[in-house]
Amino acid sequence: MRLNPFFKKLAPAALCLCLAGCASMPNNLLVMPSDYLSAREQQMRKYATTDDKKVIKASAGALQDLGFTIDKSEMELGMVVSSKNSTAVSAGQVTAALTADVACVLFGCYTNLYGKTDKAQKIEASVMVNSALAKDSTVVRVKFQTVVWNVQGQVSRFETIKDPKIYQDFFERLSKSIFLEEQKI
Amino acid sequence: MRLRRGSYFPVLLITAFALLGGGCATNQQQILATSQSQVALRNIQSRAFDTTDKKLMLRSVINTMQDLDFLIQDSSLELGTVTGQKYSGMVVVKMSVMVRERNAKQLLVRANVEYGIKAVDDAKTYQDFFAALEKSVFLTAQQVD
Repeated sequence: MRLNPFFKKLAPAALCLCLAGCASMPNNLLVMPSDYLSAREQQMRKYATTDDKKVIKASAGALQDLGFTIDKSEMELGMVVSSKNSTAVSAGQVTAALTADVACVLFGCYTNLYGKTDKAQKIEASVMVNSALAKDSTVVRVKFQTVVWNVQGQVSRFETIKDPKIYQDFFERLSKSIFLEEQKI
Repeated sequence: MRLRRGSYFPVLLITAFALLGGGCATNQQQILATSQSQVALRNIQSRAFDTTDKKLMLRSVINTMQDLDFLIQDSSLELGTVTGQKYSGMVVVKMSVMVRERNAKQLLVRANVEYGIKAVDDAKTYQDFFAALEKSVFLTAQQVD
């Protein structure tokens, strides 16, 4: 009975935690994120041509150069959607997990951290080509998302790729691809 | 013993059937189930814009969805649809938008969002989307009744 006031304080906190766990949907789901301008900077490039069809074809070419297969495309709105499957195994992660698993066995317990390490991933890339955004030029916007599965075959995470190198790589390929389209190679 | 078994079996059988039937019915009903009345939901999800340029409207929808971190998965000018997805932690958020002519002067934009396995029917979420879209098209989103 002495614990009663303590529990009284604890109960609302516990209830809050429970409700927070249940209240699944964030209320800012479709609120413009504060970093949208920097995201635009990373994902968009302007090309000095009004021939958007050429840019769409070049984008598909650039995606293929990077090992993506084209899933869907639409010329009118300038869409190219593509994906590629690849390995997600990281030597460091596997070593750490195996070391921890072995150490645990030595102490007489069982963990399967290796089963939780990344194994495969599917990367999705979507390119939208828009000639209406800027005068006398065509704007290309690309976005990459990835789903990663662990060794046990469960989805371990979903991610929007933010690594600037990947975006730079794509746009470099695209520039070359547009040039090749011009030269008809 | 015989008497007991006799009295238990029918009850058990009925319960089992009720459970089975109940399970089937709910799964089937989910296909056409909505939590709100159709009119209310349509009002929440739709806005009218004073323009007839469908292509420009679709491009603006695409831009807005991309700014909201969606990856565009499908689009069609003919049908007037755009579909995209984004991730919110471990949850997949899917969104589709349809643009069609409302009358000679207006376009109707209707959006619907799915959060994981749940259809989003809360008005604020859609208001946020249309507020962002308004800025992108420089037009006022008008409530439809």
